[in-house]
Amino acid sequence: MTGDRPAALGPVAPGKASLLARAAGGDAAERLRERRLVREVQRGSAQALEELFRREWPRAYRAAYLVVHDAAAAEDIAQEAFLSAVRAIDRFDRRRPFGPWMHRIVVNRAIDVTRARSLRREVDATAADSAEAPPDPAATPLSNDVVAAMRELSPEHRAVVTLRFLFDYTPGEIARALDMPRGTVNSRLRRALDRLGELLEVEE
Amino acid sequence: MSPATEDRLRSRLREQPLPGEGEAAARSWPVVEAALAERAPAARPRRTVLRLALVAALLCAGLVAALTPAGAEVGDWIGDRFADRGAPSAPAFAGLPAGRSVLALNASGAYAIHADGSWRRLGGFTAAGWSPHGWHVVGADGHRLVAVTPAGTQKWSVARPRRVHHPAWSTGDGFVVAYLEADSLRAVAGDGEPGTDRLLRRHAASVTPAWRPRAAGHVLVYATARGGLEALDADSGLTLWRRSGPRSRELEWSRDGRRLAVLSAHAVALLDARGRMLRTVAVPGPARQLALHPSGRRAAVVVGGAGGTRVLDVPLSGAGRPRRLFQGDVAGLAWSRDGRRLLLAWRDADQWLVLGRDGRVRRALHGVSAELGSAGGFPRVAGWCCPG
Repeated sequence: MTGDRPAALGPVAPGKASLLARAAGGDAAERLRERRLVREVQRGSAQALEELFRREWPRAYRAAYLVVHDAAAAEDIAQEAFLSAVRAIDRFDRRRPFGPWMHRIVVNRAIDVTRARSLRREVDATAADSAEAPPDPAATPLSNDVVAAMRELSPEHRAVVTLRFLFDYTPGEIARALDMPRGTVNSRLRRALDRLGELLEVEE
Repeated sequence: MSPATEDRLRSRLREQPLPGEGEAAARSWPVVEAALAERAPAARPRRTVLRLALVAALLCAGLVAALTPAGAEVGDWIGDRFADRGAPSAPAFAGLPAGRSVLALNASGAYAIHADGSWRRLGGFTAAGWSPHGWHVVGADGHRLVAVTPAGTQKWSVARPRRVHHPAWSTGDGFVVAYLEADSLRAVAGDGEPGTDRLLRRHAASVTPAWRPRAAGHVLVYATARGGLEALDADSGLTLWRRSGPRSRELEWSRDGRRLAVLSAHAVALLDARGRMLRTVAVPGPARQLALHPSGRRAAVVVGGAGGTRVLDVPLSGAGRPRRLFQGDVAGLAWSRDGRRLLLAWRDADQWLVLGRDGRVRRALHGVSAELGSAGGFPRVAGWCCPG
């Protein structure tokens, strides 16, 4: 899978800094606070980690859910992203923002999980019946809403919509986060929005 | 898409409540926190000048915190945090994977633990097992064999002159329950009808008999008092096969009923459905418990010995040697029905752990003894619904 390697720990491509800075979602004070939290986590502070968790968990879970549409899988994906962050925290470059790295891991992993599930369904429909966690009743379609409409898209299309509208990434930033050409992002975004437009405007 | 629809999309994606959002955070935080505790902090050079600068900066920050709105926000957050510490915590078992219940046993009896963290005491059982679809639990209570619902409602009981133990509900249709009375193997119908209770064999060892899944009829394997194994048709009483071997400690079929894992003191043996040996894998140290992966291709085995108690991942197909999966005093373990998770009862830390297939801890449930009342002691995992 792609996106497992923390972007902020390795060489950063030109323009990556802008992606990271933008998606940090805040002003300079926020950035300073986040940097301080990361430093304290590196020193072993559970309190700092808790604050970082509180800040980032909702968006990580939401991003995963919007791609996989399964509460248990979204929980696993978001949790694994945090565990990866904690295990790699000593090597984390504090000049880079933390959030975008999480988003990238979460979204890429969510795409992988969704693809794997689709494949399993194709090869063995009976295996799905014996899944450990049957669909959460609360996770069944939320009628007449955007989240339910997202379910109609492919995982790749859900991912670009999530990055664009949940995190406000530009198409160029999405292309770098998902390791794909910018043109592909634009076309996926256009198709996804056309489809969502049909679904939502019919509902309206 | 119109700009208005685009705005609606943006706001709904950010604000629409999602299922499981809060509960997921509550379950995941302890796991993330534990990962920080497990990590060895990196050594960092100490620099006096930097430390002095840090002290000065902290003093300034303190002043800012006292005098500015932003500082007040931080103060509020800290206040909230301390308030949280005093609030009732989530149930210890709330971190169980969704969907399936777990059967636990301690000195007080048996408990059905549900994925939302709620639990129900089922009775003062010393041994218990799920029915194939999890609609009932069968338990041994002194001289009685008792069937209850997971809500604790008794459905039937059978009284015997001698102590009953090691019950096992048949897989598939669930029409038969096998159990031991002293050293006799017996069976009764799944509805507890007294007229159906019958002796199957004498001189059985104290090992839970294993029903073969997907068999034609009701096929049962049990350990004989002499140390061998016998498979029999529980409906006709006919012997299907016998074999000798080391004394068994646990027996478990793969979900497809094609492989039988037999745990002895120092090895895991894998037999086919006719009792023929497929392979034997030696384990270092005395083996205590077995959890066969539903695929039948690997097993988690608890072993003791000089290296301390640990859980080994024992491959039962292909190449590979047993490797350590977990170190610690484990009291019961079970695979999830789909084989994606392994649940361990870790007595040393008073925790239950949910491991992924790679052995990584996915969830840690703290304080499980206190959750069920400390009188019963640590609860061991006796089964993860459902055998199927």
